[in-house]
Amino acid sequence: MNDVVITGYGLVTPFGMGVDTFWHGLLAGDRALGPAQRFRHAEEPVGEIRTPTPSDKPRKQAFTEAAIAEAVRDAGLARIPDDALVVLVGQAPWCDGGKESDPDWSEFVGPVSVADIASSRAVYLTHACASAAFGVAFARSAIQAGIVDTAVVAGASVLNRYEYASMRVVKAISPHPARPFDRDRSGISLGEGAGALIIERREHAHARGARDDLAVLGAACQVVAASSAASDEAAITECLRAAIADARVDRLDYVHAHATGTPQGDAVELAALETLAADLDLTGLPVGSHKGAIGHLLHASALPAIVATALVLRTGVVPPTAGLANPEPCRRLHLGPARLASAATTVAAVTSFGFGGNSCTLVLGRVAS
Amino acid sequence: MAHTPGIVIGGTDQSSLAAAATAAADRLAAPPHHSPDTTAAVRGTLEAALAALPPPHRTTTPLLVLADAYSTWAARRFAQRIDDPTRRLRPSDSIRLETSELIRTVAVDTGWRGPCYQLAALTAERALSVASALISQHPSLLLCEVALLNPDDLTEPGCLAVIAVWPRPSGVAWTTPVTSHPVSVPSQLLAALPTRPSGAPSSRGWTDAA
Repeated sequence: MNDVVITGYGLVTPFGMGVDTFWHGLLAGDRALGPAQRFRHAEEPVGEIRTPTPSDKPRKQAFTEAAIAEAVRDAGLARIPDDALVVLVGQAPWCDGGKESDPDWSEFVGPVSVADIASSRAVYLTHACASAAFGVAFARSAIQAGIVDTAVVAGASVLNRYEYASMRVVKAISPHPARPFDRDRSGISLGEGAGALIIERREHAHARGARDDLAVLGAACQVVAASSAASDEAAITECLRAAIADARVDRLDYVHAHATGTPQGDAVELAALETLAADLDLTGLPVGSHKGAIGHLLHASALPAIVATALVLRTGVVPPTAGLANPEPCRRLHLGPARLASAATTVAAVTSFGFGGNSCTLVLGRVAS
Repeated sequence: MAHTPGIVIGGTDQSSLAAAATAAADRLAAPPHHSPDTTAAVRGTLEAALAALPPPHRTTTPLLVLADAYSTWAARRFAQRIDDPTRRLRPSDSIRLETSELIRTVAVDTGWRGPCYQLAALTAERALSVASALISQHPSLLLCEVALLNPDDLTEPGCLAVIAVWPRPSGVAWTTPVTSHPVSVPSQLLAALPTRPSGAPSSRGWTDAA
């Protein structure tokens, strides 16, 4: 089934504004992680956005709007269609919570004003750090069910004292810039950023002359885990297999992993990916992560992951995983930069996990023109 | 498929449960489930709803959760904990931020692996519109609303959980307990659900009518 396609994307990352800036940073192996300058609650390296934002609105909202604007342009649209479904992802919908005088609160929940972003066809979706991937799966279901022809999935993460404390108290934050899949990794680095995707029914995209080469072939989004932490090998393996089955594919050319840089989480994900590679009889399967470059964007983290995967499929180039110097040994996986073998159709998976048993795998496919 | 769903309810307060059972009347697909706390109530209600489905659908059915109230409550609770000078923040405070903690163990205990979407900023009417469209793609579906009884109680808010179940299961015999003080039903979903069989829903669109 390949009837739902991604026709546009936009990003704001610690590398700067836009998808091109992000992609060139990834290709160069750059890292935007360093001492905090604006955010005063971090002693550890973070990925801050230095781009000025309008002072009259929370940065989270401003970044979300900027990412959507780029995605809309990229999709060849003048604006979000009035009848589009807009899926915003995050911790919780906006409420003042008695904290309206605390600027960090406006970066924790919300965005404050959905009306500034979308028409009344907006929904909010919350699935911890896997929220954006769940959002794509929901948008795909809504399009397949005939509810809408076009959906926007968007979200942002801005450093704030609430989420920083929630990660610090579970001892997830590394004192060093994150090093996904490195034997010397010691945890995550939090980053700031936003992303947006335009997702359409293929026939709808084709009819208006938009790119329709990048399909959302399959998805599995499950809430299951024996413990609350995001590291359950059985659950992750099951999620990977379910997505491959849903996509009805028997190959993978690339995996963009959740890979936050925690010792346990990365080890469990690698084990699950090894199992999947064995299922598919693959060797040298390229696996990458962007979180050593820009940090972990929490609820929005799947958005740069999907954009990176789209660009891997469109260019055939797998960027290096920033911060990876001493890779974990692998049997069937390849953790360094790579080039995809030339093929008429290429297939990739994006994994995204979160506390509370949230696990999502998306399968994307590109048919070369 | 009959497009009028069955209803499964659970909660922490007997009066609210009795009122909801009265409102649900012959659409009840399982006896009301009472639990002392919100998490147990939601889990128990969801397990009862899964059990009410035909066996082939119990492991695969999609679940939509209307999570406005709980996700907001959880964020406010975390904010209170982080600013509480009398106790240190704990890992469990971080974990409890997630709405999915309400349902995580259900999958472990029952084998359910269906897709799950925790949604907010969606009225009950629109949620029903979405559900009506989705059931054209799936043989079964659950739509769960978690209404909080005391949202300003940041320790234990109490809840009424209402789950619409497609396809509509057989009803259950249930005698509504007599309450001396009738209470209103704090459920927008229950109020929005059709009370009698309707025609096939529109397979397209985003409407305010179920």
